[in-house]
Amino acid sequence: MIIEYLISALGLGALYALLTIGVALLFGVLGLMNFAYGEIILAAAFALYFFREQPWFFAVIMAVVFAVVVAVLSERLAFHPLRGADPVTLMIASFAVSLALQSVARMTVLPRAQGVPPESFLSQRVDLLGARVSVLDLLTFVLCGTVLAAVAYVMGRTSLGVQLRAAAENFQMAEALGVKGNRVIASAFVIAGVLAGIGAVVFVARQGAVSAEMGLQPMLVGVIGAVLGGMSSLRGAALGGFILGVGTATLEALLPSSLIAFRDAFLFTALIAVLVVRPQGLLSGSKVRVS
Amino acid sequence: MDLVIDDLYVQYGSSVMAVQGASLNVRDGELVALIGQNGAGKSTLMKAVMGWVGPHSGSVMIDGAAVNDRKFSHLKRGVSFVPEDRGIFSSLTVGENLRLGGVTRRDKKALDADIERELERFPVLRKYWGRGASLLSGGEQQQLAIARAMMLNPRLLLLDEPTLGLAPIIVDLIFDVIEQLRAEGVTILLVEQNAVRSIEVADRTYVLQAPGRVIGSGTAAELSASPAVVEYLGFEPNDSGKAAS
Amino acid sequence: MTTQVLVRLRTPLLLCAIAGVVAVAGLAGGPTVERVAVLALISIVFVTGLSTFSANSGIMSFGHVAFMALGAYTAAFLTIPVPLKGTLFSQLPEPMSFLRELQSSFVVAVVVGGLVAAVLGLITAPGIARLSGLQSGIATLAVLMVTYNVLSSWTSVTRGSSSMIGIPQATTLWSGLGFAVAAIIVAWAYQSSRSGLQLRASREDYWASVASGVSVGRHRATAWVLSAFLCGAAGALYASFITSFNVSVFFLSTTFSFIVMVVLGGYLSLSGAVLGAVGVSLLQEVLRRFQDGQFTGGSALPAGVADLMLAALLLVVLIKFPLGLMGSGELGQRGRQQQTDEVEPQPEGASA
Repeated sequence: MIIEYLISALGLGALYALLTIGVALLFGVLGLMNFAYGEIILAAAFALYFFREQPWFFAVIMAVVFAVVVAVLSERLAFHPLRGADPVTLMIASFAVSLALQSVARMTVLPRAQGVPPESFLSQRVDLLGARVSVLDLLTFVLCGTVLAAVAYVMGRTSLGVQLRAAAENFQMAEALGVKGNRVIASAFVIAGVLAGIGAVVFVARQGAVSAEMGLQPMLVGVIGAVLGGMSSLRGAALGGFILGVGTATLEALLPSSLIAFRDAFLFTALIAVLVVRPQGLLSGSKVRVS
Repeated sequence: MDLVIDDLYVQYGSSVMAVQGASLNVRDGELVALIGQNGAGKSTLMKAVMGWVGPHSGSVMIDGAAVNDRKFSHLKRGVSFVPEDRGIFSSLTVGENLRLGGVTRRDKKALDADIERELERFPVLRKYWGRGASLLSGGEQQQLAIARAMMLNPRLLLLDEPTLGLAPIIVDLIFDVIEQLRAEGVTILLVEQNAVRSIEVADRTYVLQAPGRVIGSGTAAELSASPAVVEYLGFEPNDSGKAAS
Repeated sequence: MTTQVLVRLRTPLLLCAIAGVVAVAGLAGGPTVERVAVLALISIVFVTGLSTFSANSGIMSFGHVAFMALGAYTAAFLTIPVPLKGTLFSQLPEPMSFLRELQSSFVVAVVVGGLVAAVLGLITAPGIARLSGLQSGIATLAVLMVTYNVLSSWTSVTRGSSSMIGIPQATTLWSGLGFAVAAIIVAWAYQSSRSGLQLRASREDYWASVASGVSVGRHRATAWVLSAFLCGAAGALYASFITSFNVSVFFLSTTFSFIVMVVLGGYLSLSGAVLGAVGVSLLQEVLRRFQDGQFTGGSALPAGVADLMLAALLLVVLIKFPLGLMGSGELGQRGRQQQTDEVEPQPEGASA
């Protein structure tokens, strides 16, 4: 029982951390709180639906490809011309992108939700340390954990990661040193796309369906996690997302069933409280100027 | 490397004209200082040289090309900038900051050699190579910023208040390094509040008064010949570096 | 002095005239046109409310649809006939069972709808007053999320995801016009008041205002509560026009429509909001007909085309004219052109 809960909580934590990093990365590098992030996930989910007859592995790859393409396209068409605009304008723009992508999905293949039956191996259970753990929970944890480790490697050990971190901290100075702003921003969108793609794989496997509105929840998870983590560093964001995931799993395990429907109300009230009381995030030490 | 600023006006924000009709030039191989009190428009002028703020009127030319031209590349022209806030990336280590300075360079062996050269010049950076840059003191950060700017082997080095808020012993070190760099043939434009030391090390000095107007220029002797400059500075510049009060 | 007052009065007069033109146009056309006109008038009430906060404070809100929802639910409780309420709300919890017996006139329902929304405004005001820029954007959105979650989950009181039905239709062209005019006057009066002027000054330079002793937070809170009231009233008007509604109306796509209105018109200007409301209402109707195939020889286009075009339009406006049609100027006031050229005010505290 404890082990099952642990695996599922850690899995949800890793998934939420993954989603949060995708949001926080774009926010860090170009001040964009991307409400269209959910629709990047939708693009990946659509690929999973489209290639549901193909081998699972192939569908997963295509999901990541679709997400990356949509992420990069949204940058070129909408966010690139708004370079340097203030964060609120960017947020409104991302709202528009989100609605546009949802509309495209609704117009074409997803006027209503479509089922994507999970792979049979995902619904099995395996013995782990004496507990029966579902393969899906295990996969969530392992897949998200692996991707998180990969992101940590790229950000920490590669030249691209150094450039991304530098651009996130002081874009102008980074450019003055020769960091190519356009390329860094494009790669941030590629990374966010990959994260969204993997997130979508896990999401669709858990829900068994795709719909035009499905991006909303993961997007909100990313935004809340990023705010909790302080929006100033990826590590903080990942931690914020992780805590949000573990907290959600715990709430679901502990809350009486009559209150579970109000889970989001609790979460968002907490979010407002964090914004007002600690605008620099729960986990960040540095002071942000408040007004 | 020639820098020519001609009758420059720079607007800051929506209404303030921070630089009003400044003209100055830096010739190849020169060390030119630009001094003036807080708010005289020194930093704004420096940002205009970097193209970070556009001229309202007038021009900034480097080797005959306008810096605010779309095609102008400070990197390709070999212009390095150390801003007033030093521009150190606190989320990066000392080594990562230094390497980032050479991010455009293809020849990594030559880059390693240049890193070695700067570590010789600033031994403290070798000591703290793997440390987070946010853990450095102000003086150490300034050394890192200069070392990083040298990764481009610049032909023109722009230093904005490199000794601001530093302990006297570090100020001495920074000025020593500036003289060293000049001896190595780097053209330098130095913005400073420390008028005495700047005039002492510089070939020529421009005196800037708010709002961004040049009220005098030249060597120490030439400056001391101008009553307006002497009154503004509050001392009579001379070559020995000792302020006559 | 008198001429100055007359010049100042030109803005509300012009805006009321625009509302009047909308009403007359609705009268002249068929039932479809009338419907569009009434909805446009209700939109005017809403964006006037939204703009009372965002135009004066310079802070964009994504949460005002929450106030609209409260107004609509209040109107439903106050005007649905008592016998019908008995069946609709059979599971009403004991302390709230008095709601089943309540009955009021349309005008009272609109005012009370505004007041209930203002109460939510009052509760959230202390938090909102402290935030600006992006944090404020997220916090206002969170207010909407909480409201939506409660409305759609508190089934015994709000009927959850089942529709509210049986609200008597009371909002007409004339009553819509009346409330639109009233809203414009209230918004303009606030804008010209001491609090409004000081809040606008803080929009241009926050720290200078604080330094000169202006308590920006209090003015923000005032504007926030007042705007909540107006948007709540708009919600009540909406409910009393549409007669049945579902909670899903009060969520992101409606929020988006209103954002398009204020951004297109210019989110720093009351005139911009009103013009945007009228223009976008019209545009949405044209797009709806386009989607239904009226301009393409009868072949209907897939649902979503209208939304897609609206989103594309908003993006183009954001990129090309970030301050919208009006900039920060007002109709009938001089110096509009000059103000439009000004640099967009930087939302303070936005850089994190």
